[in-house]
Amino acid sequence: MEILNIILILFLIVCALAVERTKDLLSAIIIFASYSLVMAILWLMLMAPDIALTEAAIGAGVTTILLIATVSRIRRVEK
Amino acid sequence: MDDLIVKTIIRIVTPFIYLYGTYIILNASASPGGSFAGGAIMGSAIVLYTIVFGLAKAEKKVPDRIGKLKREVLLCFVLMAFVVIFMGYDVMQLREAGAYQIAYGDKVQVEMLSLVNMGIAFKVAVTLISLFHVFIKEEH
Repeated sequence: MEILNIILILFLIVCALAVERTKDLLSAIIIFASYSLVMAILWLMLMAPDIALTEAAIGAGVTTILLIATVSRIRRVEK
Repeated sequence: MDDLIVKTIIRIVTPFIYLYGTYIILNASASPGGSFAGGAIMGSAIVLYTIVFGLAKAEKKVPDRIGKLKREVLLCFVLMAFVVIFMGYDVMQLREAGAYQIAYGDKVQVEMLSLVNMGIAFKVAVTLISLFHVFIKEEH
């Protein structure tokens, strides 16, 4: 369990850095969705199933859709 | 999005999303989840429908004026009190009827809280849907 925790947190940090480094906004949104998914698993492992459900529904679902709707209105590549 | 595969898969999957959201809302008072998460799940089902089938079809399902309901959601709390009264309990005995914020370890039935949870979930779902529709609409 300890090792899985460490792997998940490392993945989280890599995701957060990658979101910041990526120039393509659509790829950044997809990476951000995977960040939310890993965060939901982490909440579950921290014995907070309430927060995990909300994070999975809001973070990985609704936020992603709203951000994609935003990107469809502006240009896709960051300057 | 004009793709047969996506449309078919959304048609198959959407009822199960509704079922999952309903389960979470109805068990919100006793198990993990809660009305906010349940409402968000049901709202995201409609958002998926909007993305795949277009705004015109989705507005037929969820008209704009539903998003403007505010008092009706608050009335859910009043409805719960009236239901408790009609069940034969005194207003001061809400705790025995189960329509009350319970402390840890209390042995009361919490099914009555589902009435309030339905109202909250309805509001959350409708807010999400109308937010997304407003987002999409300005393109046209």
